[in-house]
Amino acid sequence: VTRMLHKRWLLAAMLIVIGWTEAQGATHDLSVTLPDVVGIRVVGGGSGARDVVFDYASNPGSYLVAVHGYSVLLPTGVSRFTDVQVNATRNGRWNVEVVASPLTYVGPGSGSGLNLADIRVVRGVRSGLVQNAISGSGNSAGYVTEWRLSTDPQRIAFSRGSSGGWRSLGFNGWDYELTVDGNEDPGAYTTVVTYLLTAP
Amino acid sequence: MKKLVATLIATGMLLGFGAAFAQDQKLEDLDSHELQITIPPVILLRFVTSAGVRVAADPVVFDILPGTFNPLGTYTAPAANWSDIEVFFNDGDFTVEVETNNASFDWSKVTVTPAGSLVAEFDLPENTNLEILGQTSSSGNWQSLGISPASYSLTLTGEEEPGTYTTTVTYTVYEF
Repeated sequence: VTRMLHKRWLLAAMLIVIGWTEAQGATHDLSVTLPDVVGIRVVGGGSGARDVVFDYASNPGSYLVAVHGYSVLLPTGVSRFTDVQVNATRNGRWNVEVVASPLTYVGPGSGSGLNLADIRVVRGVRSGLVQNAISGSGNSAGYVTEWRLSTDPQRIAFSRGSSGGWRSLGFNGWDYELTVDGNEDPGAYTTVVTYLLTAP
Repeated sequence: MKKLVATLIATGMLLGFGAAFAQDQKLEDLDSHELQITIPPVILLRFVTSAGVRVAADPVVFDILPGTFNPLGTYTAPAANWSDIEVFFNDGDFTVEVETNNASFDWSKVTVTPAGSLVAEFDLPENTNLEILGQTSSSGNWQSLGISPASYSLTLTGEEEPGTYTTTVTYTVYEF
């Protein structure tokens, strides 16, 4: 009987070992490598043109007040432009630049008198937005508070490292303003403003 | 053997360059929006003070009292609440005309001598209009005509009957 019991224990032990062995799994490593990315986007829902409009055709009085230097002209409409945001994951320096295409003109004159430099952006002055994309200071990070449009690219912000996801640059279409002095040919002027994020 | 070693070195160099290139690759992204501006054509004329403030013009008055009356005299008008007339046009050339609205008096006896060189001296027309500024290029800013109450003078000929004569003098700027 004793020998029988020993055989059964031995058999049970073997089954446990075999069973245990069968439950063992093989493992492998899994590696995910994500590339550095930089992104910039003009934010605003809906469809149609994404634009900033200064249409004073039906409001010459305000135009004249501005001509006298008593004020600047503000946008009469802004479409699909509620913010400009950046996203950078690169562990290095990145820059935000702005550049505008030359003004095109449709009207009875020659299109003289109005220049890209007459269009200024003052960060957050009317939108109330506050930038949270740039942290740090000195040589590692910084931003300008206002700029005038130009066909030459201008750096308006720079930083290093991750932005921590999509973050605001702190301005939108309502922060644009136009300075006039009266020598502008009447008519319609158009430009395309491009914001560029680069990580050299 | 030498060939194999050279091949391995060359391959290693290429991989090294490739890795370096991958690390230094420039990344960029962009987004755009349009910006539209519409400047209106504007043509205006106004009476202003010396400070350039627009006002409703007081009358120009020649109130000749008996003690100072000279039937062949020339009289200048006193100052009023305006000191200049300005025009604004931003769309090419313009002209300026003046008119009076009745013939109760020979208004040509009133001569206007503007300051400056834009408008030449003229006599008021009698119940009609007169071009006082020919085709002029717009500057895109307010332009002074140099006309104030002090520019007005009245020259009598001795034929005038006593009384009060009134007319409305209207200045108009036109697109040429």
